[in-house]
Amino acid sequence: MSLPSNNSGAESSRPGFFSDLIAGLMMWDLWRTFAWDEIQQRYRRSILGVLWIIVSYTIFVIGISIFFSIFTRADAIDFLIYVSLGFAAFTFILSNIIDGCQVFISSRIWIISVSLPYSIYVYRSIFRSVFTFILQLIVALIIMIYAGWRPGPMSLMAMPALLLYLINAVAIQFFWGMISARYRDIVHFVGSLTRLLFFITPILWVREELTGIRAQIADINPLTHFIEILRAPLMGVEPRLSSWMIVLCLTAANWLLAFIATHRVRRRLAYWL
Amino acid sequence: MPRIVVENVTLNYPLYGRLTSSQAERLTKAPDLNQSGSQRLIRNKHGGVIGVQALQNVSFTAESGERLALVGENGSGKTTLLQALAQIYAPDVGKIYINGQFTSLVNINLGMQPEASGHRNITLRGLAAGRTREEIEYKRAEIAAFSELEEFLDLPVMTYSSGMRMRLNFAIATAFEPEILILDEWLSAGDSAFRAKATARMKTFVGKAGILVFASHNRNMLLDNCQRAIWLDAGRIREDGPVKDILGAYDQEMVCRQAIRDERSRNSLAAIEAKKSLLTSNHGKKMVRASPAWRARIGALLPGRLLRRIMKILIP
Repeated sequence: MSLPSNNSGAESSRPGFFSDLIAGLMMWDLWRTFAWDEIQQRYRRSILGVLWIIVSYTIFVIGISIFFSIFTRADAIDFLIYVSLGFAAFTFILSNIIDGCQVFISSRIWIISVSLPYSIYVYRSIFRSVFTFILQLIVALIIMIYAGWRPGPMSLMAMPALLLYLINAVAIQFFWGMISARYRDIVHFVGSLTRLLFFITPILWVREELTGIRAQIADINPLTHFIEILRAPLMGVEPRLSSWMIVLCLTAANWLLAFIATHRVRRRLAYWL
Repeated sequence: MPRIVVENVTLNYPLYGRLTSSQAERLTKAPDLNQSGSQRLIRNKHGGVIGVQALQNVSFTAESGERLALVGENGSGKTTLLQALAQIYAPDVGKIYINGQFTSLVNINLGMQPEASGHRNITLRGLAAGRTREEIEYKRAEIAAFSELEEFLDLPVMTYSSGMRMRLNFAIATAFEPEILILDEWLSAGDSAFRAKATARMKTFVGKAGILVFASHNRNMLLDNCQRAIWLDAGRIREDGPVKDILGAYDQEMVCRQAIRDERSRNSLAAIEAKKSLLTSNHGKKMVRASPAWRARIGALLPGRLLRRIMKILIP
């Protein structure tokens, strides 16, 4: 396999974190093709194919909102929108952590045979989750418009939230990918946490309706704030300033962790796989 | 001009908990110093194996137009050296400078998407080589012709035989005209027609002032394709010189070593036979096994090091 190495004497050390990120970004045609192949692969030989993403999401959201709407004071239509947005956002963030744990492990064959920027595998994985996320958001928008929702000026606030999602996805996948390549227990740890996270994150229930310890747990859970900055403006509510502050701090922390993890271990990554 | 400079490269292959606890225990308990391999195992202060010294103090330079053969026994570090040249493994000590675009083919199964079709793999590998879509389309017919796979290129690569995979891999790797070509021994697996074709192709490649680094056990292919050889022995460069001289010396040494090894394996086989006959003569007596199989099996699942540490605390 070849690498377009610069002719000025490529030294045998991996590029730094940021140059790796940029070099990978430049090869967008490669990871895009890779990701697209994988998406097709996953749904090959099924009749509905990629439509399964839409179908399973719709079934889940409608089923949940019918069943759980009796537990909330919110209006049934509002609750449907609440669940569809919250679930899509939750799926995106969590799938980036779960896929992140496998991002380098599952690319083992390529990593130990080609010297490509490691970020390519991260972008490829993110492309996949973004694809699912976009399909789910489209369904959510259709549901919302059908339910009589119209975009207002507040909805624009969702744009920076989406951007932050992407920025975080890169750091999350890098960090979890690096450490779970070394410590395989992380994969199982994350797997065991996901089911719990689904219930302690305000998707099926409304945080504002809770008091005491449950409200506190919701506030401690970082996913609450990530979801809130996207869901609240789309529902015409201004997100809490504290949510935005927490998300911004977490973004910085994620990038710092990704930088440290990559800086410390990128030289050894090929051995761990 | 393409150039490879390798300076005092030492590379340790860490094991990182790849050993199960019972494997680790066995290695710790019985450091058999008679075995040539055990000197290359890197141990921690408790005697546990933490890595393997794959390369030790390797230095050489290859200039443009050079055709370099790597010879050595299994496990002598040939593949690791190729992977270090391809900048997959970074050396612990020393430096590797590579001038020029390189392509490395270290393993036929690597760098291929098994579920994707042959054509799709051509695209992916081309993109990974930093080529544009137009360049890839331009080369596609050439790759198809050289690999002789024709309509098989529309089938997933996982349906290919290893020979077909090798043809495709070699065709892709050489089509994009790298300046440095790094090949591992799997190329020798092709049939004679393909070997002749590959040899011809490598000749034109090196004629364009490229560098070829080729690891193989196939004497004829090495003599056909290379003019210089490096003999790796237990991770060190044993000799470096013209391919004929090196191969001659290497073959001679291998005959001697094989004789020693044959002797040793005969002895251990004889010891096993002796034990067996002892067992049959003790017929009726039940053998007491030192470590029941079930214990070893459970031990493999549990984090052994952690358990041992806990046991040490509980039972001083």
